[in-house]
Amino acid sequence: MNITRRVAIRNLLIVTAGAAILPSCFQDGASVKLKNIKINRDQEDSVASLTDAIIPKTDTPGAVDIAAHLFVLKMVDDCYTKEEQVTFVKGLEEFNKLTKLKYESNFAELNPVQKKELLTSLEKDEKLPEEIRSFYFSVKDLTILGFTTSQYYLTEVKKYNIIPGKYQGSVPVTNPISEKL
Amino acid sequence: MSDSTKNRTFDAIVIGSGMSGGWAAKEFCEKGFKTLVLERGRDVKHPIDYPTTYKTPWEFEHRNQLTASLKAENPIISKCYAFREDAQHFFVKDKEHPYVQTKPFDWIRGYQVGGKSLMWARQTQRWSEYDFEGPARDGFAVDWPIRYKDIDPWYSYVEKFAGISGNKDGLAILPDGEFLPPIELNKVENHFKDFVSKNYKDRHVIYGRCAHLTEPKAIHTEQGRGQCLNRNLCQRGCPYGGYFSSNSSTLPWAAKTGNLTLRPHSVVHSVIYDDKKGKATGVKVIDTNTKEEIDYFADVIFVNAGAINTNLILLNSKSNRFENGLANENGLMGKYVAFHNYRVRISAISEDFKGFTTKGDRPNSAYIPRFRNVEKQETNFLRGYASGFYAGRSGKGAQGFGTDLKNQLFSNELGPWYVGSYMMGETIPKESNYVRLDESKKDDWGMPLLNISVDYDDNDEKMILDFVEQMTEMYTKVGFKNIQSNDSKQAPGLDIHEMGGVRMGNDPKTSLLNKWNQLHSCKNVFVTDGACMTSTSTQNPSLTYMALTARAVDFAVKEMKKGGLV
Repeated sequence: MNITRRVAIRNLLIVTAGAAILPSCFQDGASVKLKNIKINRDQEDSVASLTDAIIPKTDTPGAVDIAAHLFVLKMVDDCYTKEEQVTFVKGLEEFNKLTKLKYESNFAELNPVQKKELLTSLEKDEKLPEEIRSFYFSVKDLTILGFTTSQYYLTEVKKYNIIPGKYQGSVPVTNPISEKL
Repeated sequence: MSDSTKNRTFDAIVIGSGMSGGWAAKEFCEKGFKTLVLERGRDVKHPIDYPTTYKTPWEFEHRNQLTASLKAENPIISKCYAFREDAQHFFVKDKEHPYVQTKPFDWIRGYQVGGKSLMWARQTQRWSEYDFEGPARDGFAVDWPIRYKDIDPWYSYVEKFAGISGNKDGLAILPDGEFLPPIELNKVENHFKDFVSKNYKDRHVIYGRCAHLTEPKAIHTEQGRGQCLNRNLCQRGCPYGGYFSSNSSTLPWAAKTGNLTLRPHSVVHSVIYDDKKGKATGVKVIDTNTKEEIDYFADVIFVNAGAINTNLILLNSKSNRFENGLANENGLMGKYVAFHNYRVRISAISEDFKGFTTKGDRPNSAYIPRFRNVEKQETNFLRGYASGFYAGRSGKGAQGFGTDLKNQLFSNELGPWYVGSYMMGETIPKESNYVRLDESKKDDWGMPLLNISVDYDDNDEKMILDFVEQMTEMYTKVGFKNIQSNDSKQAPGLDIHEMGGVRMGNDPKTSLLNKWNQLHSCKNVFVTDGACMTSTSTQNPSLTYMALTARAVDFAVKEMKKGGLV
């Protein structure tokens, strides 16, 4: 893919994780309008970096290109119950504390090796506090949901057809691995 | 007669614009009757009032999920499988029409022109002789006053117009109809179909029969409807009229005659009974916008408000002669309510046919007609169940994080075939399963609230065990793996197949309606929606309501030409 096309796609996609995500006007708050949870810029950056670590930008767009972190925050704000929201925010705070304690910096500033180390332990290490792991898996699930239902993914990766055509019940599997974009 | 009364007088009044009301309207209008159709909800015009029908997944703010506040405010309707971001505007929110639950009952409603015909699941199977004979043979409820031969031509009549896709299977348990080509089954479904037919002489896996235009005929294009494009987004309203709904089919057809008056925002308070004339003269309506009370008059009235609301209206229709509800002389109105038992699903995987997958989408799947207790009683429970059957393949699922996860998300690698079945069990109507008026509480329109008391019984529990046992056996024998069953324990009502309360029967002492769906003691009022059902059988009921409606209108009009409904 050439640069122009990629930039064009990125510009097109910057808000597509949710057409209705409105930029917030509060400088200290998150850059998406939230009604129920309070998230500051540092916390938003942590979520953004985490989504980037979950689905990184490679030679194809990643989570950050579809503003997955804003989608994550919006879904937590609208679709999580009060209790789930409290758990999420608490988990986010503890997550930030953990990176400070362990690496003396925010998640966003960690190097790739450190990020990988931390995510590996989040995935596997059940000794980490439950609320941090629950926060991580919330972010991960919502990032995957936002990414795989984004306009980018459904037009460039797995094409969504609103009119899918006649049902064919017995089609040979010919192309197990898709071409990378 | 004053001008005002004249303007409020019609030849026929139809209460409700859903599945059966739409049919009553079409039939009366075609026969030259000036017909008033009353709908308690707003108007929904085909195809312009389907706001989400062209939306892509990424255009839904919450990707079709419900917000926490919507769920918290609507614990009942949120349980419905079709109540999602894309179609939630077609469902009644819990607060909009409260009711009292003596026992938990998930009452799923659609208050708009078209009613639930907009969001129905569109599966359409005929009843058979076994079903109509059921109550008499097995000694429950009362004998149906009709048999298969009475309704057979009317099934054909409505099938031709609605457009039903299916395969002529030649089964006595599920008679064939007037079919458009069936919708294809897939590799694994066909494999299971063949296996079952070879190994069980009395069990069949068939192409699901559904109200989709797989190959429209002239009668369908004349309605302005086109071919089903397999979008499988039906609950949003189909802009092509690919599936049958009142909005795309019967109502515009009725309107074309010039005889239809459609009045949305009209809650029917009661049917007006004239003691002197000894018949119903009209209906009392409350305009939901102005709360004004208005009477409308007609010679014949069809009550098609949706099973439970039909009970509500008739129970609330009190007069000197009928103190307990219109024509409710035996006190049985509201009783013997039944439904379909959808509690259990079986799921499994097939490790075979890995070299095959499916393409496109479709609005249905395979169907297994009832095979229990068909010719004679053979189990420790009465009646039986039909079952859906479906198979498909989806992506493998993604693990981990980083480029590894991303590669999996980009991969077209498929997981194994998943398969599943859901049960549709016949429940036995009982006097103890009822709806009644709760006079202590009124709704926004001054109507008493309904108190609903409906529950499962021992027969249902035994049937669930048998369903799990039989399906597990068939799945095991065919070689499916990882077989699991799940009993959702869902409350009655969530099946959205509630029936009865104003049942048909031969004897006015034990039933409310005669064999023409006519109230025994008030012959110009007919009930042809789910309320009329004497028993439930296992089939999705809408097709039977359509056929009963067309048959009843034909009868009513013939009688009126002979001299009146007395």
